[in-house]
Amino acid sequence: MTDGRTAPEPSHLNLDDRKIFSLRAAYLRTLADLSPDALPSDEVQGEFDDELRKVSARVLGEHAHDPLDTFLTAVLDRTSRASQAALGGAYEEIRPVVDALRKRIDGVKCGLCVKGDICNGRAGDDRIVAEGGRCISDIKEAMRNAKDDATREYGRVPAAVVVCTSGVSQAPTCIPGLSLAVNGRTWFSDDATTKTSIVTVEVASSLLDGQSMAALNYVALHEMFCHAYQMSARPEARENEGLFVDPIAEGMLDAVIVGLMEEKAQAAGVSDTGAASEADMARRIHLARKATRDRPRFSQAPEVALGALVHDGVLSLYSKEVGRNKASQAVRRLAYDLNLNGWDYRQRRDAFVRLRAHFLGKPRDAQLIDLFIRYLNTSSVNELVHYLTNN
Amino acid sequence: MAPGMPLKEEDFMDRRIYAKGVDFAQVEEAIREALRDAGSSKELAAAGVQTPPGFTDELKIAKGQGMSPGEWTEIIATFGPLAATVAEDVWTIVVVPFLKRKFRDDRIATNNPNSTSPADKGANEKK
Repeated sequence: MTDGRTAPEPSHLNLDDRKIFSLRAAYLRTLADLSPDALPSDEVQGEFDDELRKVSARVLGEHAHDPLDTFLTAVLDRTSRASQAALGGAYEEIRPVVDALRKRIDGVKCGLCVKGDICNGRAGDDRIVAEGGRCISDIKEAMRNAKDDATREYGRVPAAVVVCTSGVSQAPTCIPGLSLAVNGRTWFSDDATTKTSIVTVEVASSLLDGQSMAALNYVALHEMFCHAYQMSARPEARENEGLFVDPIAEGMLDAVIVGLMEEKAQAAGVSDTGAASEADMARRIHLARKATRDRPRFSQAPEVALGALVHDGVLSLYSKEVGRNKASQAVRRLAYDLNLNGWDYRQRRDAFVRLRAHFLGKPRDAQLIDLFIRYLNTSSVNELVHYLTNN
Repeated sequence: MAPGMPLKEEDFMDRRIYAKGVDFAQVEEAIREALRDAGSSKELAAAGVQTPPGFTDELKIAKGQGMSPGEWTEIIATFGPLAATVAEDVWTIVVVPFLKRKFRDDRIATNNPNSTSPADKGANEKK
């Protein structure tokens, strides 16, 4: 990396992808908001969904230069007409969905996003989306909330974060048992004086479904908590991941964010089904990522499982000392401090492999246990890191 | 350096490749192998490119992190300052063809095959 590099300008999903994303996100949110009694049968919904996809592709091709809000209205108008013709009397089942979706779409006005500028499918769109980007507000809000949560939990902002979005045609994840249309990637773009993390949310817009929408907050939290601040205490520029996968980021912090989401869902109460389904989705993804015995298994399952094991081991250790609630907070603080620390990928991996022996094997390393307990009182992780990298 | 960003002047020493169904470790080793032999490359010589001593000394090869690797892994090779004048040619004339021969043409791409960006699609279609 060269010195004096300014933070890069974010790039975003192209206009066609944003049209499809915006439509599908609005449709899926509409379905999620309706009471179960108002939902159509699977058959009718499937018919409508098919029609929506076909019409979207047609309108995209026929009116490529239309603004996004024009696209949304055109698609809904044509889809509802086609569905009425196809479904006949059964259309009454889908009418509440169409009416609610129309209301949602009517609120989308490209002219109000960034006053005076409307996306036209050219290079200038990235700036408009960065400044406004209401068409991808689900993604932007997820990232904004994740950044706020990370700042609060970490207690600092040790790295600048640039948020980008990019479009893909196939599902961007390779987690066995899950086919998600959203994924996150983080690259470090540090120079001599500044830490900058480029977080890219990848979206296969045409494949966006309820599960993927439920996963969006988890994706944002994973990138922010697990990667954006990783190694930020390192004085020199951070290296991007090479041969070694970091169990602290991929496993320990992943367990932390699932815990945070589940606590949030519990606090929100049974009426907030959105928070509950998002927490459930986060737990599913975490379990699938760490399932070492599955075949095929997630490529990083060993490291995810290792980090999760250390999380659970330390939680158990701390619970005996200070009770469950304080132990949860202490494990989180420890995970953040271990993640911020400047030790490299190999050191992290090797340290956690040794830690596994000390939690599962006998006899336990009394000095190591003592250092973990000492962290409870001092909140200083340096001694622990030093011991783990030298023993 | 950042994926999906237009290359600025200071990015000229970053080179990216996309690999499918091939371990990162194998690609990394192959890149280093290709660069070790670059000095004796006939193609490079024919193009009038001479690699300076130590041009791979500060080479870093990385693959980024995230919730999940994708079907295509993006790999970025970052050359040090000594490679400034030769990185582009060495990459295009030596490394990419070597990787395609070693791992098959359909497993190595210079632009993300999964991307819907017109720039990436156009670049892949030309090949």
